[in-house]
Amino acid sequence: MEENKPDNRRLDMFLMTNAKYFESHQLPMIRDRLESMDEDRIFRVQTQSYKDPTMMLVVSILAGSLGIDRFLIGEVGLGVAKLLTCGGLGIWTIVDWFLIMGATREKNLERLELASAGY
Amino acid sequence: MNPEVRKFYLLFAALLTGGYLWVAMSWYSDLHLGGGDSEFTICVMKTTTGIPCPSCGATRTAMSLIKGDWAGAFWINPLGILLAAGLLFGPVLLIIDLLMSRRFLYRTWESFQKVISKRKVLIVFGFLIALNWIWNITKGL
Repeated sequence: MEENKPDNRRLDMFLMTNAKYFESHQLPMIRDRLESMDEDRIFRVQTQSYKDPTMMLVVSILAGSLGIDRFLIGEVGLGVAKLLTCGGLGIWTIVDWFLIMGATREKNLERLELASAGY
Repeated sequence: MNPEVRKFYLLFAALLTGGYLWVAMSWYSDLHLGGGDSEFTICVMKTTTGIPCPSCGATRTAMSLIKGDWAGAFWINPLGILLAAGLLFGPVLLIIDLLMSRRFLYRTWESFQKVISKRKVLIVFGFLIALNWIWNITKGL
């Protein structure tokens, strides 16, 4: 039953290079999940594009009131709402400066889970 | 009610509350009634770059609607009319949903997210927003 199982070094490499995309407390869970996946799924997960939380923070500060930060992490509905309300009367713009990094990491985890489920 | 749904309804209620407070503040302090005298704005874009954003003028549109000038309201910012309608019907729908334990608003939100995420819809939407934005700029809002 060892065919198609990744070796630990590859997994650790992936986790090291991509740790910033996820919440640190989720990394062990991600590692466990990767260990049990076969080659195809691993490939999908590794070639998946993840959003850099720091980059999103920069976007949020520069163009947050247009909802671009939310659009970029894939939350189109929230982005539209933010855009239409002029950055939620400015309040949402400021709130998102603090929330956007966490939200990016959550969305990254969602993408990883989708990739590992075969999408 | 599961946490996702509860989060949505709380957020929605918060947005409505904020909207009403804002409208009330604007109305009673004549922020936008003086015909453009006061230059106060919450738009981060306008304060930093001097260019209005696509939804600039929404408050002035709301003021216009309250005063009864519905045609004029459209000329200030059509999006403002959309927001005003949302502000008007939002509480009603919210209360009905809560009282009757329905999730009409939440399901509408989920459908909206699915529809707007489609490429074609997004392109059309982006185009309309861009048009409105350009219009805002030419109007010097």
